[in-house]
Order: sequence, then C-alpha cells, then structure tokens
Amino acid sequence: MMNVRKIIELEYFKFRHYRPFLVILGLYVFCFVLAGFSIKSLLDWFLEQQKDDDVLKHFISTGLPIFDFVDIWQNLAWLATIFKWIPAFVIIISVTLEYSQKTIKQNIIDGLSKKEFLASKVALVGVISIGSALLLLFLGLFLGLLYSPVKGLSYILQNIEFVAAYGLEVFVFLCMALFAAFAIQRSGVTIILFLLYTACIEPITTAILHFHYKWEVWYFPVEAINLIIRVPFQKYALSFVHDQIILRDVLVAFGWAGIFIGLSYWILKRRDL
Amino acid sequence: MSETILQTEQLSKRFSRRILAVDDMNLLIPRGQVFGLLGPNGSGKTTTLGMILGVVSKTKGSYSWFEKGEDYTLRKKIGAILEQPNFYPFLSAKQNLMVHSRIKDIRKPDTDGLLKMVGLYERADDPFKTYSLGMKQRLAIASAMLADPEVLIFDEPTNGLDPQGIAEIRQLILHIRDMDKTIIMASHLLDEVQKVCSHFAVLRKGKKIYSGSVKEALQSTNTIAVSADDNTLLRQVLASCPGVLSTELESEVTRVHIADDWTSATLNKYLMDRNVPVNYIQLRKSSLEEKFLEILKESERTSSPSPSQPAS
Repeated sequence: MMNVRKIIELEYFKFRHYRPFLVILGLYVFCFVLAGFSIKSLLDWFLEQQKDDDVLKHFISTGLPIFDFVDIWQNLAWLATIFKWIPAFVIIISVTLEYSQKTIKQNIIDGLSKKEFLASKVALVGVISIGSALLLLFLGLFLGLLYSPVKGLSYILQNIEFVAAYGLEVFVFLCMALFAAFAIQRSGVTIILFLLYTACIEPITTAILHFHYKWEVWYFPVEAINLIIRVPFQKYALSFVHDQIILRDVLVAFGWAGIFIGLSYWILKRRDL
Repeated sequence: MSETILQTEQLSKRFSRRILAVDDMNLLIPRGQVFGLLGPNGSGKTTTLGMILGVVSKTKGSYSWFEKGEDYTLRKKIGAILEQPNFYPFLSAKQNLMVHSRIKDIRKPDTDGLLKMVGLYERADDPFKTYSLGMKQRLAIASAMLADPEVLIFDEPTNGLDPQGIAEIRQLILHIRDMDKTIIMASHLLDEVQKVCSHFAVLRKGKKIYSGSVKEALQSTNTIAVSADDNTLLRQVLASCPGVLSTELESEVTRVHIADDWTSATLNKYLMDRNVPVNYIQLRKSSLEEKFLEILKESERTSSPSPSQPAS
C-alpha cells in the first residue's frame, strides 16, 4: 500500500522553495484570471466591429451571453484550456530537473521505489489539475454572479460538470507532459518537442487525415484531450453545438492518461539511472 | 540483528555484448567491517555499488542486505552516496535533509546535530548550489547518517578534493567508523584504503581478484626493525637466535627476517632474556601499494591473456 501523504509531502518539500515553479504557477493563475476578466470587453469590442453581420448584430444591445449561467461553465472551461501549456512546463521541469541533478538516483538510493517516485510526480499532476478545476470554479462563480441575469442555484449547478471536465483535460495533458519528460529527460529538448507535437504536428496531421482522407481522429491523444470540452461558441451563430460532455471522449481521455502513466513507468523501470 | 550486512552471489552486469562491467562478484561483508573496494577506474566498483543500491539493473546473480534480500525498503537503513553528492541545488542543506528524511520515513530528523558534526551548521540555510565541493561532500555524509543507518557506502569520497578537504573527509569517516558502523568504501586510492579500511577486495576488469583483511595483507612481510644501545652485541645475539632467518644492516637499525611462528613480541622477549635491552623494535609493514601490485601481477599471471576489454 503506497503512502499517499508521503509522496505528496515529498513533492511539496522538493519544490515549495523553488522560485521558477512559484513564478510559473503564479503566471498561470494570473493569465487565467486576467483572461476571465478581459474576455467580456474583448467580445463587446468584437461585436462592435461586426455590427453589419446578420447573426451577430442581435447581440449588440445585450452582449454575447457567454457569462450567463448554464453557458458559462463550458465557455470558461474551453477558454481556459489555452493555458494548460503553462502547468505542463512545470511538470516537465520538475521531472527533467531530477534527471539533470541526478536527484532521482539519490531518491532511489535513499529507499524510494521507482513506483513511488512516479506516483509522487503523478500526485503533482493531480494536485495541479484539481487546483486548476477549483480556480475555474471560483472564477466561474464570480463572473457568473457578476454578469448572469439568472442566478438560481439550479442554474448555477447545471452543466457544472464542465469544471470537472476541465480538471480531467488538464490532468491528461499533464500526464502527456510527464511521459515526454521521462522519455526525453532533458528540459529544453522536452519542452520544444512537446510544444511542437501538441501545437503543430498532431493538429496538422489529424486535420489532413480527417478532412483529406476522411479518417476518424478522435483517438489521437491531443485530439482526444481537446475533445473533452468542445468548442461552445458556434451556438451563438449556428443552431447545433455539443453542449454536453460525451462519455466516449471521457473514456478515451482516461485511456490516454493510463497509457502515459504506464509508459512512464515502463521507461523508468527499464532504464538504469 | 543480522550479522551479515551484505552478501552478493555471482552478481554480474553486462552493458553490451562486449562490455562486461561486473563479472560474478561474490562479496560477504559482516557487521562492523570497514570494507574497501579497491581497483583502478573502470574496474566495476561503482557499477557494483549501483546494483546493490537499485539504480543499475543486474544482469545475473543476487544480493542480499541484512540477510533479508533485495527489497527497496531495506535501503532506508543504508546511507549511501554514489559518485557525486546529488542534491536539489536551490534548497538549503537543511531543506535537502528534510527531503531525504521524508524518503527515509524519519519524522524528527536531527538535522542540526548532523550539520554540526560535519561542520556545515553555519551554512545550513544557504542553497546547496553555493557550496564548495568539500562542503557538498560533507553534506552528503550528513545525509547518509540521517537514518542512523547500519551501513554506510562511500564511493570515492575524496575524489576531486584539495588536501585539506581530503583530510576532513577522512577524519569524518574515521569518526563514523568509531561509532561502530559498517562502512563500504570504493576507492582507487591505496593509501586511503590502508588508512581507513579493515578489510578490502581488489577488483580488476569487473572481477574480484583478492579479498582479505588489511592487517594480514600488510603483515605478510615478516620483517622487523630492531636497534639497541649496543648494536654489536645485538647482532651477535640475533645471529644465534633460532627464530631469525637472516639479518640486514641499515644505518641505525638492523632488519631482521623472522620465522613464521615468531612475532616482534617473541623476538623482544628473546632479546630481553639474553640481556640485550632494545631501544627500538617495530614490525616493518609493507605498504598496501606493494601488496596491490603483487596481487595484480599474480592475477595477470593466472588469468589467461584475455582480449582487450574496454572499461565500463
């Protein structure tokens, strides 16, 4: 039986005094909150520019109802997914640093098992994911209560599962970063390749496969992660949009999380330190 | 308490088809020994330590800590440093020790006491990256002592240090030895092993070619240096002594080769009985260096000429 408290404390002892971490995480929170507060005025400005558009001109008097309860959770969750790269860097640095300083080797010598070492990193991923979801929850409540015309509890709670979905999206994405870090082990190379893959290589590949060759691409990792929370905004222009979380997407995402953790363990187990 | 601290059986590590870094290593280290692993760079010392510490996977064989096997939790009772001291550079000495004690499940570590012991107490709150190599090495020793371990493992502990640093580290190791700890130390410095260790094994190209106690290795010369006020009388008496095989004259003293069943004490008594008061008598130790070269020469003669084997 693994001591969960021990592995969380261990990670806490290691990084609570590491300034780059605190700075990056602070930046994450700052971007998150800033985006939440500025998006409204940005959209109003955007509507102002589009006043000749047939569909959008109806919203000019009211503004886009993006912060209305029920809608707010999916809207905000989708917006926040842009920031998931920031905590991914934290994860990559936390793993590659242990390799470059050979502290992972000393950890094992001191009596930590490789499984416990991996678990402590997964715990860090979990804590950041839960923190992200909580951040979204508080921001959503704040903005919703500020702007939403309806404020009943039943409206607030409806679709609130998007908060958990956001936590899951961050979790799977960070698991992917974790795997990349264990596989590559050097921080600079890992960050560049991870950025390239998640932001360019896979999106372009899946786009070509999907639109040109008519492939199904929902099982690709980055695609699967992005599908958990689908783009909500067409609803203001089009009639049809996914405003639910789809079970298949959640299962595929969990599957990838399992694969990334499993592969990380396999690498850790196989390589000498 | 188990009497055997470490036992390895046919422990082997093959890095590739051509490189066999450790070859059938059999070691038996009982409680209380200060055991030196002696060998040139690339002879398999660090790889052997890596295997018994779980950071290098073994190709063949087995090892057992405290007669209990290979379980990783047993390592919590071992204080070990492999190669360089590895710590979190941005954490202070104290914070680094906190990380180590969390791994080793020590709730209330005596960090202050340990840092005082290794002379780092004044710098305890400075980040590790600001330390000199000697200070890093001393912090490593403090962290190895954290769990009040039964056995300590040092890998080339004085490597890269200046003479003062070397002296400090040796002093610390001797201090720890006097706390009745078992110590395993890898070194390529003969003089270090001679000064610190009670037992030693010699490694060459991954093979153990000799093991035994340092004392025995050094006493096998049977040479005693004696001197008396009346050296002429001394030589006369020695010439008629049954235990003396041959004598040799040095400037002030006489070198005496004695028979196997004689010691410096029996020789002294023999001389006293014949009214030759001795003012100087000492067993001439050969240095471990002579012994080491002898062992290497021996092993080269016995082992058939092997194809050139690259070092690990």
